[in-house]
Formats: sequence, C-alpha cells, structure tokens
Amino acid sequence: MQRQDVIALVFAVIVAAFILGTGQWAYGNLYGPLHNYSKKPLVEIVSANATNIDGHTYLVLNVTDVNGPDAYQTSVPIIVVSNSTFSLTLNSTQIYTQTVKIVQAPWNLNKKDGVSGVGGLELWLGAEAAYTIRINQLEPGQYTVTLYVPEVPAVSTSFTVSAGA
Amino acid sequence: MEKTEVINGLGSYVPAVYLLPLRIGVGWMWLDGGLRKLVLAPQKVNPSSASFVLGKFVTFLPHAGPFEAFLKYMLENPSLGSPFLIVYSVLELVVGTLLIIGLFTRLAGFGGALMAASLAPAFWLGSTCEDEWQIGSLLVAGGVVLMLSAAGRKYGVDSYLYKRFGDRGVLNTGILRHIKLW
Repeated sequence: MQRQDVIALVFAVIVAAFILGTGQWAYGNLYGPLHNYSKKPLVEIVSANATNIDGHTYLVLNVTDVNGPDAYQTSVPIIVVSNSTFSLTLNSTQIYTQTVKIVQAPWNLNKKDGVSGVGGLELWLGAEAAYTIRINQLEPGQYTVTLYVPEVPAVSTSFTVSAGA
Repeated sequence: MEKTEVINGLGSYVPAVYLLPLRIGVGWMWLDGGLRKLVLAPQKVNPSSASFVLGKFVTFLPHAGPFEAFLKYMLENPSLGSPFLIVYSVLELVVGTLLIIGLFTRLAGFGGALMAASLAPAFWLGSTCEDEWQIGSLLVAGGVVLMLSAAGRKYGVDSYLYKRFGDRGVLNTGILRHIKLW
C-alpha cells in the first residue's frame, strides 16, 4: 500500500465519520426513525401566568417555536382559555387587537416574534417572546390555555389566575 | 506523467486537471457566500440592518446541541458577533478566490473543509430536503479532496509555485509541516 493510499483512506474515514455522524444527528439517517425537525412547527409554551388588573385579566404567554421551517414564521391563529365550566376562544384578529405587550428574548436579534390579524401569534424558529394578552376578567383559579397551530397538534398548559391588584 | 497527477491503485491516472471543475465549483460556493455578504448586499453584515445575517443564527438554536450556548452568546452580543461574521465572510472570499485561481489550493481546501464543518449546528435545517447537511457535507468532502490532490498545480498559480519551490508546509515544524500550502 502506497503512502497516498494510507492518506486517502484516513481522510475518507474522517469524512465518512463526519457525514454519517452529522446525518444521524440531524435526520436519523443510520438507525432509528427518520426525522426532519424543520418540516413542521412545534410551538412550546415556556410559561403561562395571568393576573387580574382593573377589570381585565392579563395573560402572559412565554412561547417559542422549536421545530419547523426557518424561512417564515409559524402562526398561532387560535388561542383557547378554558376550565371545566368556562371557555374563551380568541381568533387571530382578537389575538392581534388584544395583545398589549411583547417582550422579546435577548437572542431575538432581528428575528422578532410578532402578532398580526391574519396569523395571530407569529413566531420565528428558535426565537422566544412573552406575549401579554388582555382578555375579559377571569375568576381566580386554575385554567388551561391551548394554542392551535395549523397542521400540527395543539399545545396546552395550565395556569393560575391570581387576584392581582 | 507529471507529479501533479494523482496515481490510483489500479495503475491509471487522474490528472489534476480533472479536478478543475471541483476547484471552481467548491471555490465559487465560498466566493459567492463572501460576495453576497460583503459586496453585493453589505447590509447583511451591518448589525443595525434588518438583513443582518447573524440574526438568522436564532433559527439554528433549537437543535444546535452543544453549540446552543455559543450561538446565544453571539446573538446576545452582536458587537462580538459582527466582527466574527465579517471575518468569516472575508475567509469565504479568500478561500473561494484561492481555490478558483489555484493559489495555495491545499491550504485553501483545508480551510474550506474546516469552515464547512463549522456550519454543523445548522445541518438539521432542511424544510424541503436535507439542505444544510448536504451542502456542508459536500463542501467538507470537496475541500478534503482539493487539499489532498493539490488540484491547483494544473491551471492554477500553484503550478508556478511548485515548479519554483517544490512542496512547502505551512511551517516547517510539527503537524504544520504536513499541511501543504499548494
């Protein structure tokens, strides 16, 4: 075996290991189920809490999108707040008009999460923001907030409405 | 046959000139990346612009694994991230130009392979196919081939350097001796 053969084989192994390793990590190409995290969005609710102030409930939703395409935003056009005896549905227009504040995560450099009358909450992949949404006052207690994203299962979490000021 | 040719185990030859399309292809990929950011659309490296490319790093975050902390640090400190981006873009220009004209081809191939590997945190992104992974992997493999084969010694400036100086390492010491300039 010539010196060139050894060098070529060594680098072929390095390149193959890199390609196979990253392919497995990124897409499961070698074993286990195939995956592609940039196909469909996956919205996560990082936290949810609410406070009653001056006759309104201020729902603070900290949300992020951890899967899906990177070229455009993921939309959350419907939000439902409910408990065993109550349900409130906000459509995209209501989400837009009733969002009073958006606090961006410090790493949202120029990909700022936003809100629109068409898409509701609009989330960039990887970005994170806390939306404050003003709704009619809820009775203090435990509620569930559910976010509906087109073509993927809804996500929900529970939160407590405190009496506040 | 000249020393500029790669001899395979079957006794046949792969003239270095056959690697010219790869040199130009890989070189142009890098050159184009640098040209877009630094020349054609310089707002891409302007931190106050909405087009600032560093901002796109946020989309790498969710599955960046061990690179997540570094990416967040860059995003939260754009005054550091901006010079990093400019240096990277200049390197793209330099590596691309060197590969195309065949100057310091082996070193440029080595550098290009390392730069392509550094894109790994984005490899999971590919909404239509396995885009980033395929691009990065092919640039790594292409860079390694150009590094090993001394592809610039045919139709490249390296041919003159090789004829005049022979083989030269980056430095005549340790492992750097084995990283050839051309």
